[in-house]
Amino acid sequence: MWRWLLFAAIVVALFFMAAMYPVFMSTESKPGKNVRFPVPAATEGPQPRAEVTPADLTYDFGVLSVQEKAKHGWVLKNAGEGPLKVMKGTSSCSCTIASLPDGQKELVLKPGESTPIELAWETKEAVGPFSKNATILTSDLDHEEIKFFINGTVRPPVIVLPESVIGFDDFPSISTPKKEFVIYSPDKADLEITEIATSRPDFLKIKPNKLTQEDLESLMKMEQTTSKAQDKVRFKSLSGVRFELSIKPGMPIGPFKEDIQLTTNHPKHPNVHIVVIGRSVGPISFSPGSVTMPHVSGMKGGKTIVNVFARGAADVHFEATHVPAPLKVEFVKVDDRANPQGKASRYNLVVTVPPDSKAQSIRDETIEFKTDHPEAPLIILPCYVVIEAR
Amino acid sequence: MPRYPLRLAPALALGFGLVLGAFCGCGNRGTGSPAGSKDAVGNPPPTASLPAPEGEKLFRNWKTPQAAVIFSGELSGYLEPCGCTQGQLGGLGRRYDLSERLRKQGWSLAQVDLGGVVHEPAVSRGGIKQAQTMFSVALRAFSAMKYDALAPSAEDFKLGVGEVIGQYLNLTDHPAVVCSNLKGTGGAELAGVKESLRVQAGKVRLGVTAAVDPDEIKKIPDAADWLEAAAPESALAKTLKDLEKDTDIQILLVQGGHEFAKKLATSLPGFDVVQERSIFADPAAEPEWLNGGKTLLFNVGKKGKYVGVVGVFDDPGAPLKFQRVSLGGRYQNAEPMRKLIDEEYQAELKDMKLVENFKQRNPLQAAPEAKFIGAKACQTCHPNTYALWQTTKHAQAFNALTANPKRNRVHDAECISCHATGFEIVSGYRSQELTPHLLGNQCENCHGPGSRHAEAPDDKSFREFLVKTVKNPQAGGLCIKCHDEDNSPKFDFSTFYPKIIHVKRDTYEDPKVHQGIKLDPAPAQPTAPGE
Repeated sequence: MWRWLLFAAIVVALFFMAAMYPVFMSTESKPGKNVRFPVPAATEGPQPRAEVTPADLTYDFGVLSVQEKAKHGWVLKNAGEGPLKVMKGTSSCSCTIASLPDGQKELVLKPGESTPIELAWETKEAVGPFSKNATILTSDLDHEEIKFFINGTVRPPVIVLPESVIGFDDFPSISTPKKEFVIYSPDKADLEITEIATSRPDFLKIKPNKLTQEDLESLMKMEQTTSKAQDKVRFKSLSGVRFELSIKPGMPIGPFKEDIQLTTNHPKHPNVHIVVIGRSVGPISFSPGSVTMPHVSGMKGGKTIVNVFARGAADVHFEATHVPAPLKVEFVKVDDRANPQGKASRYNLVVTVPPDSKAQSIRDETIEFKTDHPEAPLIILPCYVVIEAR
Repeated sequence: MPRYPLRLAPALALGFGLVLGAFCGCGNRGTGSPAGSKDAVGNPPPTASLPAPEGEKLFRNWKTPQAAVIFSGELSGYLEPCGCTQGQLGGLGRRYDLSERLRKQGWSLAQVDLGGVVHEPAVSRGGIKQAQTMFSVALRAFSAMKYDALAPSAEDFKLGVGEVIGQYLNLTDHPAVVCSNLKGTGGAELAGVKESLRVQAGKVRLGVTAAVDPDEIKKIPDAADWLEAAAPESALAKTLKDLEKDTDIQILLVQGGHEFAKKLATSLPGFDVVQERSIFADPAAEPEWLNGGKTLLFNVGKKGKYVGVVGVFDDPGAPLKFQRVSLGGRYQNAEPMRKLIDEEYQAELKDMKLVENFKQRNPLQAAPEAKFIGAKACQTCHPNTYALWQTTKHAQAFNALTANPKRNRVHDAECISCHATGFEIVSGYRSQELTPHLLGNQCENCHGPGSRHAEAPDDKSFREFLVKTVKNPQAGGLCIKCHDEDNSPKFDFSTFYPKIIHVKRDTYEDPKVHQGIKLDPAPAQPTAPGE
C-alpha cells in the first residue's frame, strides 16, 4: 500500500521536474525580472532626479599618443527630492564613481548631493580612432541608464605619409618605378633614422633626404589644422625624413609584398615598418592574375572576366592551346588604348562554365594561349574552378 | 462513502502529473516575455521584443513594424567574431540567427549591406588570395541569408576589380549589387551592378541604391581598366526620382566618409534612410536625424560586431525607428553559417594549399642565408630557456588550432600567421608535414632565423642579429603583432612579458656548446603557380 503511494509521489515529482526544466534552465529574461536595471526605479514617494554636468556626455580627447593615459570627469548630482541610487553598469574603459568606495555596489545620493564620475583610458600600443563608454545605472525613472563616451584618435609617435603601405600600380618589369614617402614625428625635434633594412635589398632602393623647409611648414600646418587646441601644446616639435623608394629593373614578374624596416631614435617608436606591394608585369598582363571561380553552379553555369592588357602591340591574336574541360574561353577586344610608351591594346578574356556541367574541381590547372606578340608568344594562366552540383 | 482502492493513486497521480506538465510546459519558450508580463518598473513588454541580455533592451516601445530592414556593413574580413578569444561580438552566424528570429516573430524583413567585406586585403594576415576566397564566402553567406542589396566599395575593389566583378557576376538571386554612380569604362553599364533595386517587405515597398566616393575609386590600381565613378549628386538625383515613383521608403548606402555621406543626405532629402561608413569600431546607439527629422543617418561600426535595424511604422509622427543590435552571445552561431565557415571555407583553403604555397619573402634583419631551425635545435645549447618556453602558451599555440576538431584552422593563413613559426618568411612554416619542427610560437618568431648562429655560435655578428630583433619589444611592436586588440583584448605588456622573459637562464661553460650544430636542409621553396 505504501509502495503505491510512494510510487505516485515519485511520478508527480518527475512530471513536475520535467515540466519546469525549461523554465529553470532558460537563459532568457524571465517575466518580471528586470535584467537590465538592477537598480529598481523609484516609483513612489519623492522622486530623485539625476543631473550631469557638463551635459554633453561625450568627450573627445582629440589626438593621443601611444602609452598615454587620459581621463575626463563629470559630476552627477541628485537634483530631485528623493534619494538617488547609483550603480556602475557595463563599461569598455575604466570608470570611477568617486564616492563609491571599492567593493561597494550601490551609492545613495541624498537630495542635493553629488559625486564625481571619471572615465579613464590607457592607449597602450594600438593606433587609430577609439570610442569607449561606461554606463551608470540610477533609480531615476527618466534616466535609468546614463551612458558616457570618450573618443579620440591614437597616433603613433612616428608617422608615415602618405601611409605605411606603399602600393605600386602594375609596372613593366624592365622599368624603374619610384615613390616618395615621409617619416616624421610631431613630438620629437631631432628624429633620426639610424638603420634601414629591407626584405629585398637586391631590388628595393631606399634613399633618405632631408625634409625641406617647405615640407616642414606643410606638415606643421597639417598638424595644426587636424589637431585640437590641447594637442598644439603637446605636438610642438616636428622633425622627419623624406625618402625616395625605387625598384630596380628586373623585378621578377608577378605580385610582390616586401618589407622595409626603419630604425629610429624615438624611444616610443624605435621601429617603423613599411609594406611595399605591387605587381611586376611582362608585355602581356592579366587582372586578376588567375582564373578563380570557387563556387559555380553546375546547373546554371557561370562566367568570369579577366582583363588583359598587351603592351607594345595594337592588335594581338590569342589562340587557346590548353583549356581544361568543360571551360570555354573567348577573347573580346575592348579598345585600342594608346599609352605614352607606345601601342597597347586591351581585351576581356571571358571564361565560361557552360550550364549543365558536371560537378568537379579543377585545380592545379592552367589555361594556356599562343599569341603573336613578339615578346610573349606563350601565356599561362593559373586556374582554380569548383563546379558544384546545384 | 466508498473507499477508493489505493492502487488508483498512481493512476490519479499520473493524470495529475500530465495536467501539471501541460500547464507548465506550454509556456512561451521563444524569444521575448510572455504576453501580459511586466518588467520591474511596470512597463509592459513590447510586443516585438527580443531577449535583452548584456544590458541592452532591444526594440523598446516598438510595436510590430510594417517592415524592418537589417543594415550591416564593413565586415572587414571578420566572418566570425573578432579574434579568437571569448566574449567577442560579431560573426555571420549570429547575424543569421538574428534575422531568423525576427522572421519567426512574423516581421517582414529586408536586408542590405554597405560593402567593405574586406579591409586592406593585400596586407591582411592571410594575404590577398585568402581575402579573395573570404569575399566569395561572404557573398555566399549573404545569398544564404537572402540579402536583398549590397553596395560595392573601394575597399573590396582592392581585391582586384576584375576579381570582384567576376564574383558579382556569379551571384544568383541574392543579393543584388547596387550603385548609382558606378559605370563601366566609357559610361557603359557595369557588369554585375544595378543602379537601384526595389524590394517588397510586407506591405512596404523599399527603394535601395548606393553611392561610392569617386576619389576613393580613383586610388584603386586597376580601377581605370574597368570602371568609372561619376560625381554622385546628379546620378543619385536621377535614381531617387525614379525610386520615388513607386516606392514608399528610399534607402541610400554611402561608401564614403562621414562628411561625404552627410552632404549627400542633406542635399537629397528625398532619401529617408542613409547608411554611412563608421569612424569607430563601435557605432553610436542613436542615429542622427537630418532635414528636420525626416532623414535617418547612421552607421553600424566595423568588423560586423553590430547591425542596425530600421523599423517602418504606420505612424505619421514616427514612421521610422532605429535600433542598434550588438551581435553578442545571446545569438547562436547558426548552423548554415557554421557549416559554411568552419567546413566549406576551410576545405577551400586546404584545397588551394593556401598556407603551403604562401609566397615567402626574405627576413628583414637576419644573418645572410639564415634559415629557421626550430626550437628543438635551440634546446641543444639553451636547455633551460627551452624548458621555460615549453611551460608557456606560446609552445601550445599550434595545438590551439587543432584542439577542437570541428574548428580546425591549420589551413587558414590568418591563424597560422601567429600560431606557427616563420610563416611568410623564407624557410619558415609551410605545413605540418613539410615543416613539423616549426609548430607553435617558437624562439625564432621573435629572434629571427637562427641557422647561422647554431652553426657558428661564437660568431658575434650572427648573435647580434638574434639580439637586435627583440630589443625594446614593447615599443618595437614585437608582441602586439599577434597580441592585438582583437585577438588579445586583455593583453597588458607589463603583466605578460615577465612570464616569458628568459635572460641568463643558461650557462655556456660546456665546450660542446661552442662547436655548433650541423643542420638538415630546409624544405624547398613553394613552387605552385603564382597569382
